[in-house]
Amino acid sequence: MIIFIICVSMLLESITSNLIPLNSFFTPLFSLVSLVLIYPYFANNDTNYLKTCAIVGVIYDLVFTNTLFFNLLIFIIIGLVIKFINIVLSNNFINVMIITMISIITYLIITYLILTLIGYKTFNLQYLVSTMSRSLIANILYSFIFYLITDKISKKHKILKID
Amino acid sequence: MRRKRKKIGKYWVIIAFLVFLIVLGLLYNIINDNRKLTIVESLIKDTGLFIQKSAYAPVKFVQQQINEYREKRKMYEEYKDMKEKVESVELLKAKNEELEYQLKEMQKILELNNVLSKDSFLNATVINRNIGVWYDTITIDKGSKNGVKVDMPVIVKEGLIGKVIKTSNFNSTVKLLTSEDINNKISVKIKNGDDYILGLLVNYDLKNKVFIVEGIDQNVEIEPNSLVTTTGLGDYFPSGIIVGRVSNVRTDNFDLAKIVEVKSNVDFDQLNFVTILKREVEQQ
Repeated sequence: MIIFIICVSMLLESITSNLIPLNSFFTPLFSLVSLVLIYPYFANNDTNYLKTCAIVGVIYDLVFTNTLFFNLLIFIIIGLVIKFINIVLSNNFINVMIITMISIITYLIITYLILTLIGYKTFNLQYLVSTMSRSLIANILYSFIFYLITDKISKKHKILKID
Repeated sequence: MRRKRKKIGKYWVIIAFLVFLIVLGLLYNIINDNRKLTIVESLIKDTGLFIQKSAYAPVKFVQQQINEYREKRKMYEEYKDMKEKVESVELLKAKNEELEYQLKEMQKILELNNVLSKDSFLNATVINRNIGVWYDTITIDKGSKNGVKVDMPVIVKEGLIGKVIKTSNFNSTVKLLTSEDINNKISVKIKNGDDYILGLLVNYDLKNKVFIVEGIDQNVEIEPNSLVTTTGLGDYFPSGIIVGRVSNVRTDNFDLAKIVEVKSNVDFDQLNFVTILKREVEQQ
């Protein structure tokens, strides 16, 4: 189930990125959302979960962004954020949407701040906020739909998952 | 004991700060566009993009069919118009040949060798865009095996869109002109009557979606809607590639120079097919 969620999310992210205009209200970050969706399937095995986050980060770096190890670092941080939020919140579709929202905001803020610090971008709060708002709609919707699908599959096939 | 702890605490702050600086330095090196891809990176990137391209193929097929149908309808309308204009074609052809001859002669006289030749175009399909949010790059399906090299300009029929920054065997990454890169300065010329005014494209205004051209004398008058093209000065872009048209002219904060806003006709949100200028320049 974990591999299925990651592969489908990555493929869908690359396909939708070609279909959706660059500055539309739907900026896909499905690979990141997949980190939220796979967490319950690790059944509190946090080390393995963080290792998976790192692998997803490296693949994302190599295939999509050419920034080797950059997303690896960020995805591990996001993995830790997801882990800590999951301690507080239970696993249901509303909480998954909330965790997705927090993860995307954290990811965008961290990446933007790092890119600003190293001089790749100039800091523009308005641009950051507009990018965040553009990213949230599509990704929260994706997490909601994909959560329902994977939840049904896991119940049907009795795949172990923490709730 | 307390003093010792305080000392250790101080050292930890310094060490943490140093580690932070080192990580930032490493990240700067990683994100830097001038970094070449390693063989392993190239291989993984090519494999990943091949899988992605295969998954995208059915979607692309449907998209193409819809576009083809639209194009056919449009072409039929154009065909009707063309039929009327076909009589004047021969005349234009002769005129074109004469102009080409004149251009070649002039190039010889002026020793210009930075002009595009006819055989230097390579068409490519966009297979990735928008990914990574901040980078303003697209990935195309032509790489070093197809003769693509770093710094080659990339255009669409409406004008310049960017340059190649990374190549693997079968794919390349193109950095768009809309990126905020400080090093992304391009020498441009603005058509002003029979003359050209030289300027430097320095930035892209995200809010108004216009390019900013600076370095223009305060006393020069520039008409709105004037054509802006590349000059061929510098290492990357040959002369005569359309950048856009002047949309607004204003003076800088010190009233010393003019700032020209240039609107590109390119829809940067909808890039599907692009052309790489392979820069096989005509040697004199």
